Amino acid sequence: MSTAAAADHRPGREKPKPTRWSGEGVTPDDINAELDRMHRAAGGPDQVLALARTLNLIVAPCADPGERGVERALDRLGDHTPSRTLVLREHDPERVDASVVMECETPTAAGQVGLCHDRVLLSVDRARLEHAASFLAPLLVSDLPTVLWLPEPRADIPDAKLLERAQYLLVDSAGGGPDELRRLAELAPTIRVHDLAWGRLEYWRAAIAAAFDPSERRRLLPKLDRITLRHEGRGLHAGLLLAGWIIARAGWRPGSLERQNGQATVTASRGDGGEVAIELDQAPPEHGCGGVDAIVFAAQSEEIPVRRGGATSSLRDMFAEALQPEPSFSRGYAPAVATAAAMLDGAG
Amino acid sequence: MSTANPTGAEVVPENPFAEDVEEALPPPTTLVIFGATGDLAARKLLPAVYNLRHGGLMPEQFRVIGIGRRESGDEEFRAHARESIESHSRTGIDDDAWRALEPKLEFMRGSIDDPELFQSLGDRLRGLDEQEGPTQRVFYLAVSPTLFATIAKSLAAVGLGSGADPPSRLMIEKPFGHDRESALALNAEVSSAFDESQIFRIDHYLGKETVQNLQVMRFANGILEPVWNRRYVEHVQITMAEDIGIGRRAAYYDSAGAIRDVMQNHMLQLLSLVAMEAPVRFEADTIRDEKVKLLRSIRRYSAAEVPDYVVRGQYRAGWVGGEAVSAYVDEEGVPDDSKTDTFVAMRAEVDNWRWAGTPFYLRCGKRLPRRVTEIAVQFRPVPHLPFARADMGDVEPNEMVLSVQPDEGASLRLVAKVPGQTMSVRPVLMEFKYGTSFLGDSPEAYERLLHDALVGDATLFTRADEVEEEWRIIEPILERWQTDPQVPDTYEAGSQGPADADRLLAIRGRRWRQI
Repeated sequence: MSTAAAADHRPGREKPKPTRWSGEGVTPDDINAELDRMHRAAGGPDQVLALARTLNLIVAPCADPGERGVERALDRLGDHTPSRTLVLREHDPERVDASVVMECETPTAAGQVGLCHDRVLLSVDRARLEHAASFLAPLLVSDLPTVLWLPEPRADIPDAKLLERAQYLLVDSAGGGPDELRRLAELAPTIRVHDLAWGRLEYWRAAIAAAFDPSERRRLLPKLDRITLRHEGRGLHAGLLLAGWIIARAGWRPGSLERQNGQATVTASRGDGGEVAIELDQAPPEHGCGGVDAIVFAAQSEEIPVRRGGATSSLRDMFAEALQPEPSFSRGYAPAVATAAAMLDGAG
Repeated sequence: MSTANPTGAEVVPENPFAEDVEEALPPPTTLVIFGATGDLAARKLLPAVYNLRHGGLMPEQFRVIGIGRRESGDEEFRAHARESIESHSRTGIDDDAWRALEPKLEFMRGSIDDPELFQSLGDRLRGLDEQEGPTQRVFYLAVSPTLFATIAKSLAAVGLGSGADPPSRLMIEKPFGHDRESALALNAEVSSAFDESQIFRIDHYLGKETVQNLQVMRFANGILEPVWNRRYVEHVQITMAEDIGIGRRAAYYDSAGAIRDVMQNHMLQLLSLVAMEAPVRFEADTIRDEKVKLLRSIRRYSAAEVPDYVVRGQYRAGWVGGEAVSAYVDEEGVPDDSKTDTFVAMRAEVDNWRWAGTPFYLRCGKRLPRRVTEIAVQFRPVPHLPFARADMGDVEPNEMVLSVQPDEGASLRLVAKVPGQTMSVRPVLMEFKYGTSFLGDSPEAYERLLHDALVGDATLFTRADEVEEEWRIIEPILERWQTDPQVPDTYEAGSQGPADADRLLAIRGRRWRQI
């Protein structure tokens, strides 16, 4: 094992905090020892520092361009940073290399406590990556929830045991295709999936619920025969999730998704045998909240429009929200993604 | 989803979409702000409206009608609103979101004394309803409290008060009265125009996350309940200290003082949240019923008893935060001979089964060393210390401190052995800091309160009987001070308050926590 620790050690005094350390061919014990030393060295007479007590975040490997996105996302988290972030990467040498960074936000006023959090970058060979859970287990901070983040929805989960170790799976399915939706539909019943794409649609679920609050509107529910959902150019995925949720919550049976001339349609069957034609239309790209711009429910000649009203999902830090154990947006995801996958598979 | 029951009558289906929605959107709303070009609207209300709408927490059918006396039209009001949002929104301003909100802002010029204003407002609201569909009307009175009753009655006179269709709500902000008599009169006048269920009295302190957390700490943690009573709690200290002076609020503050500005509302609200019984459900009226029960059990002192239980003070010149600051009487707009209290300390006795004999010490004041709001629960000492030795020193009793601001969290003081050969002990703290465990930003108190009022959730608003009970407790203190020729003790700005405040605690070794 070789190390590259930074600062000098003055006799009789705790070493001032070196915030970076890296090593080749390391074990979890080596990393824990270094983290422990960094924690002890942190702080001083002029500032009070505490370790964040939020969660463990395991970041699954992704392709090179994705890695830069991961870095940016982790940097942006700022105050919301998890207590310990363990970033996995694959490399060729048959060993584990680690780079450890302890970041502390300095208190800005007297009496405030500065927060520290650790980030460990682990470069691992393929064989070890397939048993990543065994390597990561000793590195997790006890008694805190663990989140597994798949930065690329297409990426493999390197070790299925990570799904047992984590309480939540964090993913943004907006960048994925039909296969990713199907995979999330399979995973959703076994692990809580916090899908950012679903989070961005929270306004629409509230707006649809509000639209059907008045009893005269609810009377139309059994008679609905057409729904037009306008989505952004790249928002078909969001449209499918929302349509899946509407179908699941209304108790309808989904038909298969058909695409023609840039338009996607699904026919759902109501409990009374009637049909609801659901059209997914493309809207200009600059509009939309979470990828959806407007929805119109129709029962014969009567229409219930649900519009955006200036709401956007950009105000919210969805990534930070998704790291919470129970984000407000998480409800209803499993039936929505299952129905969306069923539509893709043509299940009636 | 069946549409008919066995008798053939139509059955309205449940709303299947509501179950996955944690934060319901308010129904279609027109928000009418009286005092729309004033300071409160600029600093708090308009930014709150913007952030709620941008964050997807407002209905699509939504509009603001600002009312003010300024010579102004829609365009000027929109420019003013944009400037206010740019300056005070916690999220800045987003052009797309602003473009969506801008056309929803309208302005009406008029004087509140003029009945014609209310007639025009009623006509305008009805006209808009006919054009765009009905909306609930929420009237926010961001004006002087002396105008509350006039506006409420004028709204009712044009059919916008109780029984209005579409429904209406009235939002007013403390102070609710100047004393008990005026509070009763205000409640009576407002209640003659609006039903209690339509009135949302704002004590913005209740919108703070950490104040709401008090109830969660108490009622969701089983280990606290068995010790949260007179048997285990020696006394409780509630402190709300500010380092700032009165700014430009001399006209209001000199007639109110700390007792009306803070003690009568924020402090008694904190006391009731700390000491109340658990509500059956977390609902507006079950919670407020418990708070009222607690307020009723707070002993009302006679005017003669007041000096034994209440101390007032007024700051003189001193140093705060490294800056020399002037005395209260030298603040701009304050009369030289002002007797107004800028500090109040009070010993409150809660005469009920849970708390009898456990005093609650409350103190609030301006120009104290730092800004801090906290509740400190000091537990009784252990009955016998088996390893007591002469060289061990005093063993501090356990203390739980709930910090509301600025560094939100909770700490529990325990006693631990100092490592080494001797049996030395010292206090140690188990600390929980809100910021170390929670992710994400909190909404502004006004965003939370405005949204709650729009969806009709009155949990965080003060009910009429709460206000009346608060004044019942404060009334004899005001009476005594009014007739007492003695001026308040002064305290040096930046100090812990008047020395006389220490007297309130000076039994059984009690002392105030350092501010």
